[in-house]
Order: sequence, then C-alpha cells, then structure tokens
Amino acid sequence: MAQAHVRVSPVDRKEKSGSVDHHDIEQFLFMEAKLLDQKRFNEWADLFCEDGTYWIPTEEEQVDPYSHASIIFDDKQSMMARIRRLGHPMIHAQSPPSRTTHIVTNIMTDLRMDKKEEFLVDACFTMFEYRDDEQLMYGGRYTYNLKILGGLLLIDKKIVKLVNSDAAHNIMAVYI
Amino acid sequence: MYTVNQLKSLVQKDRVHRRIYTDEDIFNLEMEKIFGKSWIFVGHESQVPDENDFITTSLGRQPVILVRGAGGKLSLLFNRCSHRGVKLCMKKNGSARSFVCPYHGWAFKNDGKLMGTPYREGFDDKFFEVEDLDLKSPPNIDSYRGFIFASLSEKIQPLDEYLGGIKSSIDDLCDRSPEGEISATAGCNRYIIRSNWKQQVDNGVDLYHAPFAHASTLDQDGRQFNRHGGGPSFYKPGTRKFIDFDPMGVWGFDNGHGFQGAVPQVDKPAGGAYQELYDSLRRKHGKERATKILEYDRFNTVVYPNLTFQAFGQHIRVIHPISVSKTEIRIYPVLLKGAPESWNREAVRSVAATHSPASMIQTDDVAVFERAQLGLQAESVEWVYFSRHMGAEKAEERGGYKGPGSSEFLLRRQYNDVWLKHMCE
Ligand code: FES
Ligand SMILES: [Fe+2]
Repeated sequence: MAQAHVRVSPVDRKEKSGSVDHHDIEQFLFMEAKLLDQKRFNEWADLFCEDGTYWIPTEEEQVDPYSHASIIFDDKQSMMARIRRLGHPMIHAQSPPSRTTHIVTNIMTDLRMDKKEEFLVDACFTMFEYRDDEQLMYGGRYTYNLKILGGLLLIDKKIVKLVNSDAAHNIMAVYI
Repeated sequence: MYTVNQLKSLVQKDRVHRRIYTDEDIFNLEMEKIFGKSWIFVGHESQVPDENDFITTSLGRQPVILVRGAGGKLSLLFNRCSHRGVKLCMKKNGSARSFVCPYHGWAFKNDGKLMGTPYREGFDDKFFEVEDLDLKSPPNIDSYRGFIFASLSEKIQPLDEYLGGIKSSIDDLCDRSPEGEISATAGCNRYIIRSNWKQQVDNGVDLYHAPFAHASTLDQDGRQFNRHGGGPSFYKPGTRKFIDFDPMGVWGFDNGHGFQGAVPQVDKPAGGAYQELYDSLRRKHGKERATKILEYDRFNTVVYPNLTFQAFGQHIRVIHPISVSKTEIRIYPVLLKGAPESWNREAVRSVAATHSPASMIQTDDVAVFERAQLGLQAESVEWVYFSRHMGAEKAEERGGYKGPGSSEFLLRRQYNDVWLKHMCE
C-alpha cells in the first residue's frame, strides 16, 4: 500500500518495478481523482509527462482539438496557466470555489501492448460539483494513455468524453 | 403589460431600470420587438455549403431551419409543422430535400412547400385551397460576406444599410482570408449564462472591465496568454500598472452596433504561419495592404442585438435568449479560407482556451453576468448606470461616433436610440 500516496506510482515500489498490473492502474486512477477532489492541482499536473495533454472534446467522434472546437485542450504549459489561475484570488468563476467528488469505475486496462511500458486505459466517471448552492453532475468516459518514464507511471494523454459534450454547459473551472 | 410611458420611464440618458433585466414581461416584449424588428444573425453560409444542406437554430426563441434549396437559394423556415405544430426537424444539421412530420406524415419540400398529406380525402378540398399550409418564413433574409441575417419585420431597412459602419468589422475579419472568405465549420462551443441576454451585449465593447474581471488571466507582464505570437498586455511596459484603455477608443454606429479599438500589442505577431499568411495576402494585395489587413486595429465587435465576433481571438459569438434570466451562447471558431492550415489549427485550439465553457477568459465574464442577475434581484435599488465618459464621444467623418476606450456611450445609444424605440413601436 505504501508511502506512495501522493505521486502514486506503482513502480516506486521496488517489488513492482517493471511490471504494472491492473490493480496498480486502478489505484493510480483513484489517486489522480483524489488529487483533483483535494485541489492538489500541482501534484495532479505532476502526474502528466512533460508533453502530456488533457482534452475534453465537444463531439463524440472528434479526431483532434485543432480542427474542431474543444471544451479544454491543455498541454503542460496551458495546464500550468490554468492551475495558476485556479489559485488566483480574483478568479470569479471560482468564487465561491467548487467542491467535487470524482467517481471512477468500469476500469479496463490493456496490458498487452507491444511496448511493455505503455498502457491504454478505459474507464467511466461521474463528477459531482457543488458551487454556490447548486450541484451539477458530469458523466462520461475517460481514456488514458499511460507511460512508464524514468521509473514513474505517468499520464501521456487523458481524454474526457462527456456524455453531453455537445450540450450548452454551465461554466466549468476545475478539471473533470 | 407595459404602456409606452411606463417603458419610457425605464430608460434614461445614462441609466436603465433594473426591471429590464429581471422582468419576464419585458423579456417577452423584447422577443417581439427587439428580435422582431432587427436583422438577426442566423448562421454562416459555410454551414450550408451545398444544395439541400441545412442547420437548425433559433431566431429569438423561435425554432428555425436554415436551408440551402435548389439553385443555392437560402431560406429560413419555421421549424414547425403547419398541421398541429410539431417540430419537424430535430437534427442539428444535415442534408434533406424534404422534411416529413413524425405525427401525421405531412411532407414539406425544403423550400417549405407542402407536398404530401396522407389520407387527404378526409379533408375538405377547400381546406387546402383556403389555408396557406406551406412552412412559414420570416419576411426577410439576406447575407453580407457570408453572414446570414433574417428579419421578422416586413419593412426593415435593407441589411446593407442596417449594418452600416459595422460592415468594416465584417470586412476586417473576412479580408484576413487570402480568399476573402471565412468559414464557421470547426464546430461550436455552447454555454449557458444564467443571466439576461443583455449582459452579454452590454459587455460587448466594454474595455472598462478587463483589469478587474480578467485579473486572474494575467501573467507576470500583464498578458492574457501568448496568442498568435504576441498577446495583448494590460500592463504598461515594465510595470504592473494597468494601461490606459481610453486612447484605444470605442466606436458606435446606428442600430446599436460598435467595436473596440485594439489593445496594444507587446510584440508584433510573428512565426511561420503568420509569415505564410502574410505572404499569400501580399501576393494578392501587395505589401502595404497586406500589412494593413493583418494589423489588429480593433478587438471585439457587436452587431446588435445577437452577434459579436473578433479577429484576434478568431471566433463568432451568437446570443440566444432563452428566458429573462437564461441565455445560451454559441461560439464558432472562425477559419480563414486559404490561410495556412497551421494558422487555422492554432486559432481553433486557442478558442478553447479563451471562449469555451471551460475557458480561462470567458468564464470570468459569465460569472460576473450571473452575479449581476443575482444582484439585480434587490428590488429596492432601481438603477443600472452607464454614465462613463458622458458626452465625450464625437461624430466621425467616416460615419458613426468614437469615444474614449472605456466610454459607455454605446450602451447609452443602444438603450435610448434602439431598445426604447423598438419597444415603444
Ligand atoms: S402535426 Fe404534423 S402532420 Fe400532424
Ligand atoms: Fe470580458
């Protein structure tokens, strides 16, 4: 179980080195969600590779965030700008701040990739968001490309497919 | 219901009554009078490029289908079966020669003509002679450089005249394309503002709010991110003091339209895609004109009452009022036809950062609009003011008026000259 409760990375554990199993990936996803719920955004961003990306498309079959509108497409640089803004005292979209709970389920891991150090993960989520006397609910599917880099399990790509991605949304400020 | 005198008491030179944002009767009247007597933006030609292409949208609150019929002719049809009122088409877009009602199977050609009524013999023949059962259309539809507008008013002035001085903003956007055309085919970001639709219009050319409403977006040197290689800075160079927005100017025209002058740029735009875009414009127009076209001489533009857009953050924004306290906004990233692919790709991506429902700029505006709706519930406090730089605007030789950048004169003109006039008609 371990000391690895912040930068949760199963490969930190010696006996695990090199072989990540489904349980490790589940724990990784749960910890990622917990970091968001606890607003530990910098630690959350550390889970991404240097060229990692986070994407919420507007359409189910959307191929990329460059030819079609997206709700969020962050690389590490814009992720850091967004996180800086989340800490700014004058972020009106977070006054009052959101409280969230992410529920991550139906996790399916593809461990049989050619490259042993990359994993495709598919999961379902719901997120409750409470702010200013109102509770919102988001739901959909996550897909992750995870990678082992320098002995750490990291996110290369996280895609958030909302069931209502093309709806007219209330404003969002925190990551889903 | 409001009498003319009651309506007049809600608008003064430098203020409006809170009720115009909170009263349902006013909202219903606005849908009839403001959205009924203006040219309303309903779509862009690129969204219906070929014969039989259609999109569904709304004109004010009314469901409509924008369709390109035979010979390329555009029509706007109320999305409502002429029999018992069922909404005909539920798709957001597509291609169709006809629309068939799901209820009793009446079929309409895509120009609105009724072409089939099952078990017709049960109706009196005279019924079909006497009643006009084709799909109805607003009396006017026209477009300017691909921007399609419709009007519910029979006797409105021609679109060209209605747009007047604000055509320069549409030109400014379209001229950036080496083909002189934009397209709005890169999808759409939709968000809900839990406030009255006019909050978004009031904000359209507001330069006064930026340092406060957008404080959270500024980096160390006062820039709102680094867009197109040279984002605007809100700080005086080398300081953390806000620039003076007044020298930028704000322009206003008849019918409530206006635009903001440009925010000073720290660096000139640069980079491979920019150079490529410049080169193709130069080949077409020559050096001087190409340079002029690519200058950002303005920021946001408002075409009253339901369209705003900008070339800098390359998008079109359309305002759809839903109720007195609820509004939907649709943001369409704009593609410059013939521009390098990488230029357009970067622009689409950039709109997600600036104007999506989770964007880093627009969400602070929306939060403020929603707080306005909450604050305006205080019935004991009547007035909303827009008295800034009262009387400082001057008539321009080219037409219209120019005021100091943070002037609120466009609101004064919108409410006094357009809103009140239409509402009392
Ligand atoms: S309502 Fe459309 S056919 Fe009857
Ligand atoms: Fe703003």
